[in-house]
Amino acid sequence: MTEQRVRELLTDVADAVPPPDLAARAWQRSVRVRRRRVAATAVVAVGTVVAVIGVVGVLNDGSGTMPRPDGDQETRMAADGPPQAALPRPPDTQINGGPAWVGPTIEEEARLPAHSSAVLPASIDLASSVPATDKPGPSVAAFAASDSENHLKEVMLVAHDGHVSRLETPNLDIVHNPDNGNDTVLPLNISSLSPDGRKLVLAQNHEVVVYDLVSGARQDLPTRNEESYNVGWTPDSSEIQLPKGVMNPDTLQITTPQGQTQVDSSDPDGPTDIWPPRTRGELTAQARSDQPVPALGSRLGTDPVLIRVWRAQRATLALPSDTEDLGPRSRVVGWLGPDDVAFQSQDYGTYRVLDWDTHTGEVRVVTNVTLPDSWNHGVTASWADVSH
Amino acid sequence: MVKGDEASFTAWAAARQHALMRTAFLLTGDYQRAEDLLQDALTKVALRWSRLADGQPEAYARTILVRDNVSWWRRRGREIVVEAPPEPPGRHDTVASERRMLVTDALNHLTDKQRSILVLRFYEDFSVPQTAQTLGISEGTVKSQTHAALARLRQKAPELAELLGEVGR
Repeated sequence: MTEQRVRELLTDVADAVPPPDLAARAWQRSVRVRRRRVAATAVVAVGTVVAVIGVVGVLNDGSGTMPRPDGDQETRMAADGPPQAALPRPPDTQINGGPAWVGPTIEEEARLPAHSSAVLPASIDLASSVPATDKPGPSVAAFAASDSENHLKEVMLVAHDGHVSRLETPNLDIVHNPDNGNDTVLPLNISSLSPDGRKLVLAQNHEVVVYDLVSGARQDLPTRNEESYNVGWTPDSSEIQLPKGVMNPDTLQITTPQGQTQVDSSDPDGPTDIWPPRTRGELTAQARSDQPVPALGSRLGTDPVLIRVWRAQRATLALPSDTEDLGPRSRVVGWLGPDDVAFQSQDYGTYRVLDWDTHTGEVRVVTNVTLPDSWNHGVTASWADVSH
Repeated sequence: MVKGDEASFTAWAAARQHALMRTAFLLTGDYQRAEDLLQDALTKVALRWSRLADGQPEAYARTILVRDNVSWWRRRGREIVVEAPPEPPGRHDTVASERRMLVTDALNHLTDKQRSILVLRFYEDFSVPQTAQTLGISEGTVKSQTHAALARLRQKAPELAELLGEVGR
């Protein structure tokens, strides 16, 4: 059964579907939903005022003492609403002999307490207009937006302090997927920014384009593989990796432009897609999917993302996938401390970096990202290795 | 929410709801559930209409359609193969009807994930990365599950292959 025949059969079935009449009803429903939300917000606001008055009244019991902020930056509020219940908490189960916790859902993330980092800003605002440059400097993250045809709209680079630059990317072609010549893919993928944050590699057809973010130099490298769109970097930022043979997901071969070939076997549970591992001393952390966790069952949905730590210590954070706006939620950004793994969590229109304490299980918000409204088709982020 | 928004949303939804309904039906295999799914997706688009109107509302609606369907089958429990549902109300002629019923029945032998992948890859013409991103799975899974789904269709629906002249040649 060829792919073309499957197309024809599906189209045949779809063509028999009669038209619905839902347009006006959908609008009326949205109006009712809005009204309910406004009403609910008003109730919460009134409830909050009453609660605050009540608390102040109880604490101000004639002694003249009023509550005061504790000044601890690590417990500042990350988003609207109260922080989650106190952590640390005991592991939910054991995986591969190490503790495993169920991580927060996307909705719960917004209520997590904040965690300050020396290498990542508390917020990244990509919505402001910034001029283009060919020398944005060392960066912690690269964000790219595409239009519906996967033409690259723009690439934004983010410095350690949160400063945002727009990279000049002239004369880039739309990238065709060699699996299917009619498909196109975004030139930037999750591994495009080098781990040291100084170079960016973008895929083209039969070549890759390397930008030196510090000097402004651009280099076009022809590739032996036609599949260049999953291009990435070796952990030391010295070589470009081009995966091939990806039709077999159990075998990930990596080829450098010089023709050397090696097999990625860093994960003891088997190679993954090109979700970059981050290593600190004897510890490696990597995000992976496609691994059900029977012990945690339905709490995770069927495709959780697991943040795994192995070698000297084993630990797992399983991020539930059963959210309304499901997305490929996560990849590891680096080690923020001896026990702290930073990972990106992504949903439709939501990007943030979270910190996971691999000993206590505690998860906190490090960075919230604001995206431009015009980036409403597709957004991809690539992070440098922030381990220090 | 202003009056102009209502007019522009209603015009857009009226023009695109049939195309979206086709996708919803292929994803669910059930006309009533497809309609519910589409109603929810259109409502979500309407709630964001002021932001989406100048962008890609259809892409957003399609994404919601797929993801809400994923959420539904995850809540329901996975990998339930159901009996073939009746063909949707609409065109009926004997040969075409029989073929559509065969296809619909064959699709019901797939897991929900495999079905979603086939619809996105071969009906919506999504790329592997787009399919992976929409479903929240890895690209490797998209590729391996595409292969597995096609193999399952061949195995479970030999009549379909016969109908297409693939057997006996």
